[in-house]
Amino acid sequence: MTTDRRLPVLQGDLHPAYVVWELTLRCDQACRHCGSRAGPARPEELTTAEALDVVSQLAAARTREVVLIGGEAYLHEGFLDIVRALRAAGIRPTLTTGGRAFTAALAADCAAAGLFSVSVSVDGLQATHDAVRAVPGSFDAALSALHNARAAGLRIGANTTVNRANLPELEGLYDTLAAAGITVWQVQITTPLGRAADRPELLLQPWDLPGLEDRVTALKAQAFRAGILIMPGNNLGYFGRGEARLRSPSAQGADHWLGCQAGRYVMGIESDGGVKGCPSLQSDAYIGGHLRDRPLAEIWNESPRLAFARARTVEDLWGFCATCPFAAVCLAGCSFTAHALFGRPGNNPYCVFRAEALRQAGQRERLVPVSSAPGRPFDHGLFEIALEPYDAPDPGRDLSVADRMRPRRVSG
Amino acid sequence: MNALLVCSACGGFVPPVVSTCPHCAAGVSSAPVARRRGAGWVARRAAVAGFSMTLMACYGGGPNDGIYYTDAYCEPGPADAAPACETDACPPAADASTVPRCAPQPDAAP
Ligand code: SF4
Ligand code: SF4
Repeated sequence: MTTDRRLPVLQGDLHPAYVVWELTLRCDQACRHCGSRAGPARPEELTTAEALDVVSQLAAARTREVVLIGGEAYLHEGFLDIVRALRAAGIRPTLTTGGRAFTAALAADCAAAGLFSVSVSVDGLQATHDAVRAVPGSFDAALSALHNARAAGLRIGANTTVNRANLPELEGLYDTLAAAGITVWQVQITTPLGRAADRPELLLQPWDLPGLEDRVTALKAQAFRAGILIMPGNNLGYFGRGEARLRSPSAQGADHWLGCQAGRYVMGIESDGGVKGCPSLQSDAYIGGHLRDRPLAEIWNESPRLAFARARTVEDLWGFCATCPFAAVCLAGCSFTAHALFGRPGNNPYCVFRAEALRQAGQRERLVPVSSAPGRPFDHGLFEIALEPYDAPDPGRDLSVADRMRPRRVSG
Repeated sequence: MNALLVCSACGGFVPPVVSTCPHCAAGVSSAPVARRRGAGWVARRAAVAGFSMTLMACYGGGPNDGIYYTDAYCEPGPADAAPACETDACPPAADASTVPRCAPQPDAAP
């Protein structure tokens, strides 16, 4: 009574099909959950000429799509040249942006250069979004960016990281984004990476996940009828009853999580040429080489730091995940999320199945920060799991958005 | 191969290693063969998701009116403390519409 529909069909042909490329760390917003702590540029960012050479290497590696990010990608002097080069190389260029200055003129330039789509990061309704971005007016700017991109003929989408500041606003945010004309909305959870690691009160607790999944799947059903696709980011979900509804790109789909694709079909490039298996992975632990030092193909093929997810087995899991009936398929969910909590992958409490299983046993896991992040891009602190009764008090439940934005250091 | 079944009682996925559904405890024998997928499924799903693929972090901004600083970054501090600047070299805000990153950020109320 089994099926082979989950065969990893590209096995044996691993290549960086989907690349997320941080062109610069320079940014004009000071977002309080920014994983890369963007603001100023990195000290030694790739020049336009170097970036154009990287485009050639990506084409040789059979990359299909590149998501340009920052910081803010179009703060790189060669942004439009790089978009044009990607397009000319047969690689689909897309942009993820906060949109603070995605003007009508820039949108038109992007369309003329061959940009395929724009995804604007929107992290709540106006007051919450502006508080997260630390910039009054940021929400209005994001909506203007969507408008400008759409008017220029670009496909538009949005992405949202869900946390305890914006959790009550999901439905209202969907209505706003739908009215703006998006066709895709990616929803994921805020992970304690970078500045988000400094704000433990901002983070969801694991027992928040089942309710979040229920709400996202309900919105997704509504969105299908409106011609909008809602997709979970890689750190939302895992084998709750609604997994197929959450993860399938069609209303009747029966898709599910297939395990971390870092270094398999996904690759990240940092703006100084650092290469890692996924853009969100922690720089210190996962940069496998720099493009100024080694060719891309050599880093991809030979660096053990890019290969960790290629040979992962259940033997690599620990904690609850090692005992989970879904372990062999799931392999502990998103690697960077687990690493952000515990300093290594293989055990992930941000899991719907796990939270439900514990709830059935009258328990839940509380994430307790025990060590702060040092303050570098893509860094992390450390957390411990406190197992407690499901109905234990939740002291963080009623904090204001402002309280959740304040950094808190813990010793360790 | 770790192919999953689908529970006919609750619709949840069921791993092949268990005898009862981990979601609703129904017997696995009730699980039907799940729909078979073609070989292009992984690539198609990736293509769909790729449209909105992004980091799990924040990426935003643009080059307007000198509101970003290239030589310093100052983390907004807690409202009741001095701003936690990483350097004391932050430039002043260019104008009233900009964000003075060396000054405490206004904590926007929800
Ligand atoms: S408990 Fe771990 S292995 Fe099991 S489904 Fe959740 S993340 Fe995956
Ligand atoms: S680390 Fe997480 S986001 Fe990155 S490829 Fe793996 S599962 Fe996806």
